[in-house]
Amino acid sequence: MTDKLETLFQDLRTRTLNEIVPPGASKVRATVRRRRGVAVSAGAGVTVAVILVGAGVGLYPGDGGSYVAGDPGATPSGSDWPPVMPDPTGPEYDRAQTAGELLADRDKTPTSINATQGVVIADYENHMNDMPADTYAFRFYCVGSGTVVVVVKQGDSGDTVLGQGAATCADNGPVPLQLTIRQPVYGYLRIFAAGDAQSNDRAGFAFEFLSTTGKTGFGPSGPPYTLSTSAGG
Amino acid sequence: MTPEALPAVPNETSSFDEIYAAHYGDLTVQLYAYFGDRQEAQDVVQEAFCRAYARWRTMSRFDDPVAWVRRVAWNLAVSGWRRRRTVRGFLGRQRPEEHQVDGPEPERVALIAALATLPDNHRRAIVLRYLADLTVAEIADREGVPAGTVKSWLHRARQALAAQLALTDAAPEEDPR
Repeated sequence: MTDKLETLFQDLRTRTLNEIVPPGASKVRATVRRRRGVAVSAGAGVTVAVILVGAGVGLYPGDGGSYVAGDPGATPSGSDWPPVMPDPTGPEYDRAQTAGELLADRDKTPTSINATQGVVIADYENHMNDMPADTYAFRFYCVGSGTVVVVVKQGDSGDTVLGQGAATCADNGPVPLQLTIRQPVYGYLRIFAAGDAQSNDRAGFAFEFLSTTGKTGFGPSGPPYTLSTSAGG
Repeated sequence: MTPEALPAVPNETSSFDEIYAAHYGDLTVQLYAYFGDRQEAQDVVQEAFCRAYARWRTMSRFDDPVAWVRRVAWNLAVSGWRRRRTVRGFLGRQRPEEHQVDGPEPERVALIAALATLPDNHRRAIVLRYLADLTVAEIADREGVPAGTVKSWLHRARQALAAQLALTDAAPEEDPR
C-alpha cells in the first residue's frame, strides 16, 4: 500500500509517538497497589482513614495536581509528566473488584472467557466481538445493593435477545444471575446492563461467559478460541 | 497497612515493564485515531495495562499477553469508559498545566477530523489496517465478519477520507493479504 493515506497515517503515527510520554509502568503498579490496598484495608475496618489518606496521596501528591499516586523514587520530575488517567478509587470500585474476584479462575477454568468488571451504571453496554458459536453459561455478579437488568443480544446490531434477567446485588456472597446463551454463529454479542437507582454508581459488577460444551476457551493470545477436541480440553 | 506494604507481583515486573514500554505508544496512537482524543486514548491504554498488571501472574504465562491488553483497551474504547466523560472533564480541569508544545500539523488535524466522520466499524477497520498493521484477514477475524466485508469497509472508508482530504489516488484495490 503506497497511497497518500498510508503516508498520512505514517506521519500521524510517527509524530504522535514522538509526543506521547507514557505515564510509566511504575504508575501502573502504584495504581494497582493502591486499589488493592484500599480494598484490603477497608476489609480490616479502617476504611475511613485509608480512604482519606488514599485520597490525599492519590489526588494531590507533590505539586497537588497529578492524579496518580506517586511512587516517589520512580518519577524523575513530577511536573513534567503529562496528565494520566483519573485513578478510580472509592467504595464502588472496591465493589467492582470484589465482584471480579467472584469470577472463575482462568488457570483452573479456561472455559471462562470474555470476563469483565466495572461499576454499575444506568446504561452499560459492551460489545464482545470474538464469540465463537457455542453454548455459554453467562454469570453476572453484582456487589452492593439494588438490582441490575441484564440483556444479552446477538450480533453487532439488531434486537435478537439471547437471554435476559435481573441480578440482585448483595454485599456478601451475591447470587449471580445465570443465563444460558446460545451463540449461533461466530461474531458479536452485546451485553446491556441497566442498574436501578440503588445500584447506579454504587454497586460493582462482573460477568463472564463459560463454555458449557468445553469447546471454547480463553485463547493463549487473548481472544476466545475453539478448543481442539483431540486436545483433551 | 499502606499500599506499598502489599506484596508486589514477584519476578514478573521486568516482563511487564518491557511490554508496557514497547506497546503503550502504539496502542495509544491507534486509539487516538479512533477517539480523536489523545488524552482519552492514553487513559484507556493506561487502564488496560492496570487491568493486565492486576492479573499479571496469570497473564504473563500467555504466549501473547499484548493481545489481551490490546483487546481490553479496545473494549474499553467502545464501552463504558466513554461514559465517564463528565467525571473526566471535571478531573481534567484539576490537572496541572501541560508543558505547551506546538499544536499538531494541519494534516494531522484534518486526518483525525476526517476519521471522526466515519462509521465506527469503518473507522476501526482503517485504524487497524493502517496503524495496527493488521491484515484484512486479521481484521475480519477480530470483527467476526467475512474478509469481503472488511475490504468493503476499507474501500468505503478510503473513499470517504480521500474525498474529505482532497486526495486523488487514495483508493487502490485492497491488498489481498
